Amino acid sequence: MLGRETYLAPVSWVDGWPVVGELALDIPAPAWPLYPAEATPVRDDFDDSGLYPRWVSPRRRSEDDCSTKERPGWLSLDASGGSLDGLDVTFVGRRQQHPSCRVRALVDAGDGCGGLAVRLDERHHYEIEVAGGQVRAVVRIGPLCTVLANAPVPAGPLVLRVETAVEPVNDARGGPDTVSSASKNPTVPSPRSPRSTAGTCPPRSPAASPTG
Amino acid sequence: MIGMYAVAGTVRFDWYDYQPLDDIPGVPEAV
Repeated sequence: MLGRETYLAPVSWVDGWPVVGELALDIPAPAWPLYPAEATPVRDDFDDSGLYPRWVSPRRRSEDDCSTKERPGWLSLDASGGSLDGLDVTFVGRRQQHPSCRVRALVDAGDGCGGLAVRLDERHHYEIEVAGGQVRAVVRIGPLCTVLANAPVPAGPLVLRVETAVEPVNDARGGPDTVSSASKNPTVPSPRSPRSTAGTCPPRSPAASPTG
Repeated sequence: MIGMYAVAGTVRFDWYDYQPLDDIPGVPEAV
């Protein structure tokens, strides 16, 4: 199979119309970048009425489940599915642009359950989530799902953190990267947030069927 | 992707911060 052949041809604008030039095997490269891209902000305080296009969600995102208007200055996510394993989970994320990076967020789970996740698809994800006075780190790799660690936390908003780091691969049991997570009480708890420890996360099966 | 999610009730996020680790001196560091 030959596959798709690609080629470039110079284009110039003449009287407002693009005119394709001669096709040649060797074309001098233009100066890059043609238009310097605006740097993506590293932090979002959700102060605007909507989300920037850099925020993406799998499949679709319902305005009813994702809002910066429900509590101004906060992003409110309403659960539509019970697990990151499902197709209908409420998830808003940014594409990971660097092999090693750190993500932090101040989370108020209230009576709900949620947090931060490194997500490949429904069968491969790491998450740190808070609910009911507990924070826990969970991993799903294929048919296996397990709680790596959990700890009690005080009521109120919590800073969650996820880091990814590229590690050298020494054998088939490790690498190619490491994901770590942590939680911490914010230095100044937000007085706007309700205090509750009544939330519970949906139950998880610690190990699904190997054929699942 | 790395991001925020809710699997029960309503979960709210006050801010979200993404940093390349190579740009952060002294990594790893506390939260």
